Amino acid sequence: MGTGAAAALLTGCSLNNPFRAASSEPTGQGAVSGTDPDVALAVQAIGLIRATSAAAAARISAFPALSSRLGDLVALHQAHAAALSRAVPHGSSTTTKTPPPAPAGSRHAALVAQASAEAALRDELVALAVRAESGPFARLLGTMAAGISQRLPGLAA
Amino acid sequence: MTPVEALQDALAGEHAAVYLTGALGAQASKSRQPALYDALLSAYRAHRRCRDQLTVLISAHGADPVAAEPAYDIPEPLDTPSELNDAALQLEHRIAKTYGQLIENTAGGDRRWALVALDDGAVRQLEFRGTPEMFPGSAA
Repeated sequence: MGTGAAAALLTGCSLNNPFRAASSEPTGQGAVSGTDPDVALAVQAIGLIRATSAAAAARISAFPALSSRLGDLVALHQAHAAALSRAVPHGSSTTTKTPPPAPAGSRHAALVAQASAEAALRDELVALAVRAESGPFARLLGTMAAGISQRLPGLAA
Repeated sequence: MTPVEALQDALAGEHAAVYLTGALGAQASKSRQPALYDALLSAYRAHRRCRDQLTVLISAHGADPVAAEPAYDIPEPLDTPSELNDAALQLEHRIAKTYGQLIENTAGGDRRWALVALDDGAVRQLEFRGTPEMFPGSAA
C-alpha cells in the first residue's frame, strides 16, 4: 500500500469518512487526455451515443409530448459526445453512419423503444469501459453509463 | 494508485457507509417516514453487500482487507427527515466518486464490478431525491 493511503488509514476515524471533502482530482474533461490507445473505442462510443441521441430526437419529433421525458436524454448524449470528442484526434471520422428510422407505432411504444435503446447504450458503454486501456478514460465511460442509468427510471411507462 | 490500494479505499468507504447508513436509519421513523426509512434500509443493505464483496476481491489479491474504524464522524444536525435525507445523498455522492476512482485504477473483473457498483450507487442517489447528473462518479 502506498504511503499516502497507509497514512490515511492510520490517522483516525474521520479520514475514511465519506462526508469528508474529497481531494481535487482531474475533471472528466482532463481524464480523456492521453488516451491514444483508446481512440478507436472513443470513436465507437461517439457513434453509439449519436445514434441513440438521434433516435430520441426523432421520437420527440414524432411525438412532441415526449419532449419532457426524452429532451434531457438528448442533452445528456450531447454532453457525452462532446466529452468523448475531446479524446479523438482532429480529423478522425465520428459521423453517424445511418439516420434513425422514422418512429412507428404509439407514443407508448416509442417511449419503450427509447428506454430499450438507452439501456443497450448503457451496457455498450460499460463493455467499452472494461476494454479501455486508460483508467481515466474507463472512468469517463463508466460515469456516462451511470448517467444514463439515472434517467432510465424516468422512462418507465 | 495500485488496484489493491483503490480497492482498499473503496472498502474503507464502504465500512463508513455501512456505519453511517445504519446511524441514519436509526434516526428515521419507520411509521412517520416510511419511504425514507425504506431507502436507508435498502442503502444499508447495499453497502453491506459491497463491503463484503470488496473484502473478497482484496483477499483474492493476497492482501489483508482494511478493517473498519471503531466509529465515524456523523454529520450534524440530523433533526429532521430532510437532514437525514441530505446526509444520505451526500454519502452516496462521495461513494460514487470512490467507485469512479476504483474504475480508474483497476482492470478486468475488478473494474467490471466497480462499474456495476457505480451504476447501482448512481441510481440509489435518486432514492434520496438526487438529481440526475451528466457524469455521476466523476472526480469533478
